[in-house]
Amino acid sequence: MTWIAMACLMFSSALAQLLLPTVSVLGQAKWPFLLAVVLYYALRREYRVMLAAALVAGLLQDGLGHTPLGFSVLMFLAVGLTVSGFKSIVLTDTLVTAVIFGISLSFVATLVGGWTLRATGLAGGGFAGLLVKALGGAFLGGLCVSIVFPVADAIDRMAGNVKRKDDIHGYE
Amino acid sequence: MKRRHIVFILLATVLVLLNLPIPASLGIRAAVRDNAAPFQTFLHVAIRHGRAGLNSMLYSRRAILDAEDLRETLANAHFQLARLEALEAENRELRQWLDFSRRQTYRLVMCQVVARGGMGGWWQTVRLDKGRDHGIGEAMAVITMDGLVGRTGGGRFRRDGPGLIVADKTSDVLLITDPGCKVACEVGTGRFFGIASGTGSALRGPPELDMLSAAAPFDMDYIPGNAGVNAGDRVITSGRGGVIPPGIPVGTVRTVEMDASGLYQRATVTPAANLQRLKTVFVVVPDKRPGSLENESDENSGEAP
Repeated sequence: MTWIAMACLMFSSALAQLLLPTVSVLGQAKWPFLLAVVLYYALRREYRVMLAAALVAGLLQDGLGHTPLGFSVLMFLAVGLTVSGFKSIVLTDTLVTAVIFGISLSFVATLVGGWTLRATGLAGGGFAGLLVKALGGAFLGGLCVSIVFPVADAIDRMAGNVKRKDDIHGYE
Repeated sequence: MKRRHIVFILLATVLVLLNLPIPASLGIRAAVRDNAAPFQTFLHVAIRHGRAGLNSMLYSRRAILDAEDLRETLANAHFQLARLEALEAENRELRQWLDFSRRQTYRLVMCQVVARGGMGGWWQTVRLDKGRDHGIGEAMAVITMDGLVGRTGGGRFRRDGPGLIVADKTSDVLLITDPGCKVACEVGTGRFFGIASGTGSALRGPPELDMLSAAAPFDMDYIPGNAGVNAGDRVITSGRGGVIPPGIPVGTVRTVEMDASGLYQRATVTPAANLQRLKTVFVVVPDKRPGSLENESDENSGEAP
């Protein structure tokens, strides 16, 4: 059921990211729903599930978007591996941790992604515009994580992929 | 399998993906888009119907349908009128060049805008709900009733900027406000040539609910230094780029100044089309149907125009 739940979550997140309009004051940054999904699987689920999520999310982002195929897979893998590195020293069950990761990683991913596209001549624009977009991406990253984590958690519980801690300890 | 092995395999996969030949890469992306298209269209249609339902409470449904028909008819009329104006001016020159070139005819394919900006928002693009199945091809002009919007991706622009694709069921359009979109234009009564290119999106300006961003005026470069161009002059396509037909309104000159090099003039141009509220657009498709004017002109190629 993990894979079915992941597929549904990924696809609906990709469509939301594609269809939701951007805001000019946030530098036209897109809502990073797919990044939030990868973050969810990196923080809350097993290592192999996170890797699969990064691969699928990257393929969807590149397939539906305009960046070269493989570009976003690399970015999401980096995000997933970074979060996995911190997993043992942070509180993975709290939304605050997720939001902090969402804001910071979205900022870095936008900045690095934008710089790479400019360095390879695929996109134009100045550094000021990129900084505004990265700040906008960070803000939207925090919002997306706040939306995706409760939804993904609820889906995983309904599907029986994870159990509530109360159930585990028999306090229900 | 150890973690290190899995990561190694995934990184190898990324390397393969990044180095795929262009046709293979485009094929994979087109397949992803075509498979996602029904869901995307479903969501778009659901939103549109929701809006139409709200409208029907205020207006009759018949009026909405009539308005859509009229919009298409009016767009066709606008397009033909603009082309006729350009052809009239061109006709004088063509009289000297009998049978020098064939006259191309076009038809308009009406499309709905189903997404904007792609997945990352790095480029000024929109996605349409029709593709190759509806006759749309690579590098075709996209217009509204007011003027030029942009061009479809691919073709000889395949290696430029974003990976724009015309798939079977959807097609990507690079807007004229994108810095990568360059259009050969004419300005003023003297029909002076220049190249219009986008400057991106404005951070300030009146936002619209659909786009939530304001389109920045674009630049028109390489206007001859001695050309008499003034604010308020109309800018239209020249057709010399070979992609976009001549005579389509592009915008209106806002300011003109001499370039720092002193060799040519540069103008800022306000777009004619309202790029913030793009819902319905028209793709200009070269008409190759039997009985079209192009075929007639082939038959009468020996006659004087």
